[in-house]
Amino acid sequence: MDQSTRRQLALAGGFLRVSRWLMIPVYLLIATSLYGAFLYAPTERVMGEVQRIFYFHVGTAFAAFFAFFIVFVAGILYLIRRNPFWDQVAAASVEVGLLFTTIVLTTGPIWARPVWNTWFPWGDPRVMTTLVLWLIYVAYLILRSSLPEGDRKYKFCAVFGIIGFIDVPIVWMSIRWWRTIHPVVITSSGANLETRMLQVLILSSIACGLLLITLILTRTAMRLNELVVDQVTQEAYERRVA
Amino acid sequence: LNAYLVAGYLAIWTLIFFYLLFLQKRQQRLTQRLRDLTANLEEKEDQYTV
Repeated sequence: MDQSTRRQLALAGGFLRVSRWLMIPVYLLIATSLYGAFLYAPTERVMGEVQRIFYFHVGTAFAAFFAFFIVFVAGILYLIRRNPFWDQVAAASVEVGLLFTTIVLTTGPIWARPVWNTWFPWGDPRVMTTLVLWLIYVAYLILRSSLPEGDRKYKFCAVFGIIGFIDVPIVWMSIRWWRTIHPVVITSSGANLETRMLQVLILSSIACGLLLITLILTRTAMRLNELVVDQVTQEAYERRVA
Repeated sequence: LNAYLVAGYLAIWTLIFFYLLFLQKRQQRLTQRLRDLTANLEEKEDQYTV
């Protein structure tokens, strides 16, 4: 057993310990966000009750952007250090980021149907760039599963993750660059929101962000465990063959 | 209605929360078992080299 295997197991153990501790504030924050979104925040005058989905739609979108930023940073770190640990962090972040993007793409139509009278506005730049973002990281996972383990796979995935991240600022800027029906809530002069709405939005964004970090830590630990199982099995097989 | 919605979503979230805790606990146990296994393998390696 080499040093790296022992280090991977120590990291997996540490990540699981931290994520278990994080679960308590995450639980409380999500519960408070639910109270805030449904009972504390006022009802929007034009859209009515359906607007309350906004707090989780935007919160999960911010969290997903953060996940893809981690993929970008982990990709760069892998290319510099060639340590498989960074590849596992990137892969875990893609999985969790995709889950959050799926929530964004699901809550969006639920909100759009009564407000815009359509489930999916195909011509809207923000919707389209978000869909492209989702497809990019689905392609990332397909690429991962189709390549054999090793440096070549990790290198490809790191480069893919770095290039894929280009779409995140495009999604953010799409409502400023092109004509869209998406409202511009956060501008350079501040947020165009009522105070209580803004408070709930900040709270739900923090809750979603912390949940994302907890899930990434757990998933990375699981991936590191899988990697160690693969290494031990491979070594045992080689020893038997020898 | 909103109070019922909060209660409903909170119940779903509580279920997810406990499932995640269960998952983390199982992974922690697996990590510990892998540590024991690698330590055993190292001992055996030492015996071979002696």
